[in-house]
Amino acid sequence: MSGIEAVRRFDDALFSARDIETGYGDLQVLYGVDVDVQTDEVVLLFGPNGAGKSTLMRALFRQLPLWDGTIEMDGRDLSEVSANEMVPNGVAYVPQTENVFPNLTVSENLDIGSIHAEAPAERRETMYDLFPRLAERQDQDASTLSGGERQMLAMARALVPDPDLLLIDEPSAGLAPKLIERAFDHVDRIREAGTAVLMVEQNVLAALDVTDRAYALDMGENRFEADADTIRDSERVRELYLGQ
Amino acid sequence: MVLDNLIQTFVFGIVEGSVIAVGAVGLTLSYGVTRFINFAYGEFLTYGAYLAVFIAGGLFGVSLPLPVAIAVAVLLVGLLGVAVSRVFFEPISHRGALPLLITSIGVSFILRNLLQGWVGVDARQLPVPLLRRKDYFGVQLTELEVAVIVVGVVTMLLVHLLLQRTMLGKRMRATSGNRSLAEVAGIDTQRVVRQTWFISAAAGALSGVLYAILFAPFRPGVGFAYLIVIFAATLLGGIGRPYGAMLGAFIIGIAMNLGSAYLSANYTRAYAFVILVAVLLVRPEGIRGGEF
Repeated sequence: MSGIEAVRRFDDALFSARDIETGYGDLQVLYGVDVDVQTDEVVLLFGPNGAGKSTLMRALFRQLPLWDGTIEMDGRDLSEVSANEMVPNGVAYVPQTENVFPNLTVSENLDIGSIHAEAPAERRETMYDLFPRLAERQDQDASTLSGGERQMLAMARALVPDPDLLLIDEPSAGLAPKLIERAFDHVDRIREAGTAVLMVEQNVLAALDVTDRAYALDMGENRFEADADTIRDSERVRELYLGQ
Repeated sequence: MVLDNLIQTFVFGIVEGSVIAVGAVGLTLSYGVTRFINFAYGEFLTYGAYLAVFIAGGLFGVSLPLPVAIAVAVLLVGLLGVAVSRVFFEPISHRGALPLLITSIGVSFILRNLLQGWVGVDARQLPVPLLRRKDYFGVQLTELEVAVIVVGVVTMLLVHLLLQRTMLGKRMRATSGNRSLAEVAGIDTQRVVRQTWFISAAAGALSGVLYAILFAPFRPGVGFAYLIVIFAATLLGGIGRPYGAMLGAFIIGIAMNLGSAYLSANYTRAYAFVILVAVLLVRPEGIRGGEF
């Protein structure tokens, strides 16, 4: 695989996960995965179904116990913290499904996001600027939103605290083709606003357009890591992972 | 005359509905956040009534005026609720609803028998005067009965403000709607659960005191026996839904009083039970519950 290195490690990364092992019950899913995210970077995680991408996201956000490995953010060790302490540590997370509070209004969903925000009122305005549709629907219950609107609300809720890093699991899942492009557009704008992004995405080619670097995961292990351009141009990757 | 009787019965139903509403809201809030039906909830009613009697009667050295005694009793039972949740329910909170429910039945026995061992089975009553009924717009009520309605309505209003206007209420609703996402959003849900236990147990205690004001005297089994009525109201409104519980409570209260007045007074609680069974037959999703 010319031009594709095994896995580079960045010692000055904003967020580093090393040798991550975890699973469910007796079933091990991850066997020592490494992921780094540098400041202002958009990083893509991809790989076949069952590779352990969503499991990795849950482990990184401390929703699953680590069987082994370490997680650091800005030099702080997050290996032992619980999920509800991640936001105060500058990391936010948008799960793939059930990522809004259906029984709360749009505005109340953002209230929940504001719990750890330093300037909640300003951040809320910023979110309504980024997602004008949400401003129109402020007083509606989130359960009444369309799939695309829910995805926007989920991102907005996560971004209100102004995190340094956002983890997103499948931002394009369940969206109409027209909306998929817009979802990645949002990812790009989130990075421009100063938040690094680590996303899992099946729609690899579209995601690569806004991605700086990508990791391929397979069978619970790192397969390789490279810049977005390198991956896009690699025939081997296209054959193996993109079905082209 | 017939119409006067009907209206009077209706209003008595609203008086008892207020007692049920306070109890049902407490039960439904705890279900909404913890996702299991707490069978020990009836003991919070009992402990509220007994503590109010003892605190007002000077058992703990000083004898406080009744309203103060009631407030202290309600707060103490709230703390009891937090203690019960930490000792019995937190350690098994990840095991699912059934073990929690069965544990709550055991906790109910423990609390009831502890109280019985301590105070015996003799009937007690709150130091409230016997009052003559007065005429309010053609309806005859004692001042205490009016007070019960007022306390019930004010409690409903406070619960409404808590849920809609305060951050604690929003955290509770978020935890109820999606506990895993609440954690992700940075909410310490275990803390929210404890706060909910406090509010739930305190509401139970207040309901028990109101019951004791209306229906003195009472024995240690009072709360457990009344639980069926509170369940009926809670399920009628859809368990986990506070506004449904309020509505269900007044329907049950009125139904019990209409049944007692026009069918037979021997079956007062049976009317609530019949409604409970009917809800389960016709609308079984009521027991599956929702979020608030």
